[in-house]
Parts: sequence; C-alpha cells; structure tokens
Amino acid sequence: MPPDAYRFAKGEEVISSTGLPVRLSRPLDFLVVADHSDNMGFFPKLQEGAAYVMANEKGRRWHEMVNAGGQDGVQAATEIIMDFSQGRFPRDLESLPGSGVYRSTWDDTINAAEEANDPGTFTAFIGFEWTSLVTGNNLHRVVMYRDGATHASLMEPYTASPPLGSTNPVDLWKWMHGYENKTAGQVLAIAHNGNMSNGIMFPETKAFGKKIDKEHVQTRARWEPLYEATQMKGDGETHPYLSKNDEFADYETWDLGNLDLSELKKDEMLRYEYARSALKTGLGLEEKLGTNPYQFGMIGSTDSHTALATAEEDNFFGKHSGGEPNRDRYKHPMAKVGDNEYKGYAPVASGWAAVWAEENTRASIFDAMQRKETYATTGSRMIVRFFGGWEFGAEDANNRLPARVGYAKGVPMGGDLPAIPEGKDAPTFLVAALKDTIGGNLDRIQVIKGWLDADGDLHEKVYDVAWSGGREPDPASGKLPTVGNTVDVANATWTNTIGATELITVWTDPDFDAGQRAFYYARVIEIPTPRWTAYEAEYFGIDMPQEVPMITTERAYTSPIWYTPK
Amino acid sequence: MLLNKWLREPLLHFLLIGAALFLFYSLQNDPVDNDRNRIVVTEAEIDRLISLWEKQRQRLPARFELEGLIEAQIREQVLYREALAMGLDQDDIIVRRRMAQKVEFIFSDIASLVEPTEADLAEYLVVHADKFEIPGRVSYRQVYLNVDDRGEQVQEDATRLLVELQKAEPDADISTAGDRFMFGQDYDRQSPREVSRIFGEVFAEQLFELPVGDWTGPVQSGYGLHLVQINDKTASRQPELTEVRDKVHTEWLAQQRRDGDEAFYQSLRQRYEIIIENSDTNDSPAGDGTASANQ
Repeated sequence: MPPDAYRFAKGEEVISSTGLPVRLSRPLDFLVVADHSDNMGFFPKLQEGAAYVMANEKGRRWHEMVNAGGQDGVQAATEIIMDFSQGRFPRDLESLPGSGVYRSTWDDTINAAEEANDPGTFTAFIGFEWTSLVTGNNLHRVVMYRDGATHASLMEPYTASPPLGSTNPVDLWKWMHGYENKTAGQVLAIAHNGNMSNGIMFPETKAFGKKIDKEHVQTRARWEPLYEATQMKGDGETHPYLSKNDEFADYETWDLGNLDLSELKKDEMLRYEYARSALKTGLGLEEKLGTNPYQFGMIGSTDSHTALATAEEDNFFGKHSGGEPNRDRYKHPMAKVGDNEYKGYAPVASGWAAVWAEENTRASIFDAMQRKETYATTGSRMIVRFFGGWEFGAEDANNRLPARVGYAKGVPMGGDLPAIPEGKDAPTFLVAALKDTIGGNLDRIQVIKGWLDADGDLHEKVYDVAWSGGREPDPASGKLPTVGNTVDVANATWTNTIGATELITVWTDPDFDAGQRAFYYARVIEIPTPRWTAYEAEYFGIDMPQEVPMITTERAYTSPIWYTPK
Repeated sequence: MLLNKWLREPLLHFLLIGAALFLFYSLQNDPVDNDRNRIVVTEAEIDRLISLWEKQRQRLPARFELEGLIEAQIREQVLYREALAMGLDQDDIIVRRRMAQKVEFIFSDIASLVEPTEADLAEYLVVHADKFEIPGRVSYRQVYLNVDDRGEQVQEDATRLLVELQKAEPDADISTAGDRFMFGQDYDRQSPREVSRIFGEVFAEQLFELPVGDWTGPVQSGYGLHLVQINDKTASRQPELTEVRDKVHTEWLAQQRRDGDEAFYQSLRQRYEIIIENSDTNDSPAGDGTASANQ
C-alpha cells in the first residue's frame, strides 16, 4: 500500500508481502508512488452519517458503531461484510445516486503522498502510471505532478483503456495539456522500457498510423523531458547490436520481445527502443522538423510493484511479490510463452533517479527534472557532475569545488551549449564522479557523443576520459585495459583495492565539427561487484546454473548536453 | 391386449411422469431466464459514468461518447456473467487476492475513521518517543585525505596535518589543506541523517561523539580519512506535543489502521475451523482440536 512504500523509502523497516522484514541501507530523498488508476467499492457516506444512511436502521446503527471505534468498529465491519456476502445488504443504502459506491484509489494515492511529504527532509510526489500496452508492446509512462492535493485531485488520472482512456501517447499529452489548463498545475511524463515496446517507443516517421509532423515532435518534447533509461526489466541505455564498438553496451540486456512475449524481437526494432539511439534519432528529426522530440534527460527507477523500492544488489526485493527473496525465485520466469521466457534471474537490481536540485521540495526537484539536471544510476549512489562549455581548462579539474566552476563557466547536464564564442574551436566538458560511500570504486568515466553528419547520417562514439590507476589505452585498438576484478563470487564479496574513490577531468572533443548537431553525455562505470544472484546463492546456499550472471558493473548515465550549430 | 397391458404398466407411468418433470424443470432452467440474463444499466450507473468522464476530461461526454461508455459497461457485464457461469472465478489466485484486498480496504477505511483524543496523542508521543525525537545537529569542518592517492603514507600525513591544523589561527585559510572533496569542507547544522547521506552511518556516529573545539581525528568514512573540527553542537531532544502534533496524529491513525486490520482479521478467522495438513498444529477456534459450529 502507498503508505508502506513511503515509510520504506524513508528508511523504516516494513514487512514485505511475503512476510519478510526489510529496510533500505539508506533512506531515499524522494519517491513517486505511481499506481495504476482503478476504482474500488466502498461506502463513504456511511462514515459521514449522510441523511439517507441515518434514515435506515442498520445504516444508523453501523454509523454509530463505526464512530465509537475499537471493538464496535470491528463488529460493524464484520456485519457489513457478512450482510454483503449473504445478499442481505440494505438496498436503500446501496442504490442512491451519487452515493459514491466506489472510492477512487486516486484519493488514496494523493492522501498517502500528502501524508508522507516532508519538505526539506523527504519529498513524496503525487503521480500515476499510464499503462499503455499496444498488443503487448509497452508504452508505459509515469506521470508526475509538481502539485499537491488541491490541484491533483481536480482531475482523475488518465487511463490506458478505451473509451475513457487511450493507449496512444498523443492522447495522454492532450490530457496533460487539459490538466495544466484547467488547474494551473504542472505535470510531466516519463516513459520507460522501450526495450519492451518492440520498436514503437521512439518512432521516426509514423506513430499510430499518423505521420510524425511538427506538432507531434513539439508536443512530445514539451511533455516528456525525461526518459527512464534503466530499471528492473532491463537496462535501456543501448544495445550491443546498435553500439558494436562499445564493450560496455551489453549490460542487463532484455531483448527477447515485448512485455507479454506475444511478439518476439526483430533486429530492425532495436533502434527505436534504446536511449542512445533515440537521442541520435532526435537530432535527425530536429534537422527535419525544427524540434527534437527526444531531447530527454535520463533517470533510473525501480518500477517495483511490491511497494519496496530496492535497487541494490545485496537487498533486492524484485518487481512482484513472487520475486521477493526466496530460494526459488531465480528459477521462476517473470513471463513465459511457449519456449520464450524472461528468466527468473534476469530482473535487474536497478535503478535510482539522481537529481541536482536546490532543496528537497516538490517544486525544486520537479523543476530540476523539467530542466533535465538529472542522471540515472543502476542502483549505485555515486555522485556525478557533468558540465559543458567553451572555457574549461585542465586547471578546473584541480578546483576544490568543481560544481562552482562548472556552473560559472558552463551549463550543467541537461543543458544546451551556448553559441560558440569567437576563437573557440571545440567544446570542453568538466566531469567528476565520487563513488557511493558503501559501494564499489570507480573504474572510469566516459563521454558518449552522438552526432548528425552533413549527409544526414547518425553516428556515435564512446571516449574514455578519466580512469583509475595508471592504465594506458592500447595504441592499436584505442581501448583502455579493463580495471580488473576482485569479486569473490562464492562469498559474494569484493574489495576496493582496484579503482578509484573519485575521478575528475576536463575533456575537449577532439573530433568536433561546428556544423553538425551533437549531444554528449557522461557514463561512469564502477569496478565489478557481486550481482544480486551471487548474494542469493550465498545466502540460500544455492548452486546456480552456469548461465546465471553473478557479477555486475554498476553505472551512471547523465542527461546529455546538446550542441546546435548556428 | 398387449398394448393395453403395456399402457397400464406402472413403470411406464413412472417414466412418463419422470419425463414430464424433466421437461418442466428444463423449461425452468432455459437460458432465457428472466433475472440471470437481464442487464440493467441504471440511472445511477449512467450518472456515475458521466461524472467519472467529467472528472477526467473536464467536460461532459458527447452523446456518442456516452453511448460508448455504456456499451463498454454492458460488454463487461456480459463477459463477467459468462465468466461466472463458467466458474472462472474459482481457483484463480488473482481473483482471490483481489477480493481479499477489497475486504481489507473496506475494513481499513472504517478503522481509520476514529479520531484520537488529546490524551491519545499525548500517550502515543510518550510511548513512541524515539519516532518523534528532534535530532541533534552539528556544525563542523572536515579536511579529507584520499587514501588512493596517498597510499601507505596516509596515516602519517593525517597525523602531521592534524598538528598543523591545531596550531593554525582560527580564521586561517585551510581551503587547500588535505585533498579535494566534492562536497566541500564546511557543514552547517547537519542532523545524523544528513551526515550519513554523504559520509555514511559509521562516520556520522563517530562525528556526534566528538566534543566542540579542537581539530581531531582522523575519522574514517567509505571515502578515506577525515580530520574534523566541531564548531557547534545541539543535542537531540524530545518535542512538546504542540511541535509535532500533525506527525503524531498521522502515526496514531496509521497504528489504528494496523491494529484494526489485525483485530478485524482475527474476529473473522475465529469463525473458521482451520486444518493444516501434515502438521502438529491443527487449529480450531476452540483451540482444543474440536470442531466448532457457527458462533
């Protein structure tokens, strides 16, 4: 239930739905509990002692017992249930119009968020999940509100079931527009799991039968400033098929098919499913139509349905209650159709959304998300800074307070580079990362560039820009040697004897072309650490089959910084 | 004659009566049964659909939209009844879970109606003092030593640096002392939770033990070593009810809900005879292995 989710996020111990006590290693700073909208049957008027309730003898009696509370309240509820189950429930308590025989769980969601919200300490956002499935192809969005109950309660959330709702994002955006107009509130939408959309998450020419035109790209850009690039059902940054030269591209890849495995994956779908590819596609669409619909920042999230936001390898409670820790969960597939299945060991203990905001309040965090000053992590709490400008120099990497010089001389992650000043011929980037205080050391920082060339072709390149130890890139291949591996799989431990606590550098794009649209984002990679399956095997004494991955390399993806030629 | 004899045969009469009864009952259970196959979309239902639409779209539905909504309701009813007729509600774990959840929702709402008295809140505050404690705060400076960079020398460096810091003037510029730490050197009025967020729990615990005054250390964190100077410290304290009344109120209600849920469940469970196979604990309401009638 939502209140439990918030308590858990705040660091309290709760009992999971399979009866296990569970607690986060450290509290979170904010949380969105985004339930699917639905309706429940209940009797709000009984509580209030509405006239027609009091006019009925049983109604009056129950009303009094309920208000007396304690054992009387229990008794009243028992009687109500029994009457219902035996078909004896008084008709005139049931059939009056406007008796609100249902209570919206939207009210519950809002109340839970309002109760849990503690500005300055913990922010609870109101939100809902719009669960669009197009013949099994996932187009889910989480809709987040900047607002409190007063605004949010004015409109019921949009659903994905016709006729009230729709599975077309264009209709969701219409609803969002309507919400802002009617209430003067603010909302944004965050899509996730392009990897299960079977090629329809980031369309290029047509969407739902309509050509993608100026209006479409403007609308998408307006309502979707962020994308959830990593979560339990697979990492969505990139795919090895799309990024053949990126030795870190095959990370927790789920590419079997769509959400319910009603259709399997084909290679040609992939480029419309992953973040890096979409960022590139967006450059092309901006060239063509004047607006980049995929100019999104990146966050991670868990998408947990257990009310427990767990994204760390040694404390992973899975996505559904069937995926909570138990001896057999690695064996039970998440979905299985014929011979195809999402394996029980495949869920990823990921991810977190990191936001650079001035203060821990709804307004401040929401605004930071709107301007994309965010980064995704796969469960690590590493700290990452990324700034772009024309004036950074090597000495800035020695600055005691890199963020200060970053903001002074450039734009933060999520921003747009200002126009090239006279005399400058390449953009410079200040990037810094500090490890998670209880996590693995850092292996390296990379900057990933995507650009559109003069022929209209899209390209990408990964640059290693800072790394631990005295490693040198191989002169032949240009690749940096791997950092090593201290993981003791059998005991599910590792040592921070390799890697670095902190990495910082200033990097200049050596392949810059002032006439070409481009984006740059930072990816920070940790040294290898045990995966949740290793902790599982050690805890339960399981002999995992060969095929089960036991080691992970946590990472962070910052929102990009964009360059647009004059 | 043979036919006559046959017609008076009691067995034949029985067969005919049986056939008549069979025919009679099969007509009764004909699918064109009045109640089971009647779907009524009431005025109240239509009002509800309209109001739900309005709450979502901020306008009334057009005629064709309303017709669509009504047809969707009908469709759902038809399929629902067919499902029931086919017994699809039996043995479905999701249906079962959902229905159990509905009962819980209903009760939990009733339970949460009772408002606490002042005395209730005051008592709750006393009993759960730890929940509402106002945390202590500490203002401090820290100088960081990066173990990666300094290697084996780090302890020596720490000792030397500590002496230097202790000897320095109170307003000396120490911004270049030690190594860079991205979050800086100065921290103002941090609670244990805020310190943990950056440095980890172990560091936070140690930090709050230190007295106000001189530079001291090194204290270890997940990042390395830190020399620390506490400038100011306030102790944690128990608040007055007036300071935390809203929080206490919320927690009290949550407790009510939990207790109420449990009491309610127990009161229902009592009515059942529960048998756990292959176990020594055969449970029954009487608790003594005897079956019980409805209570």
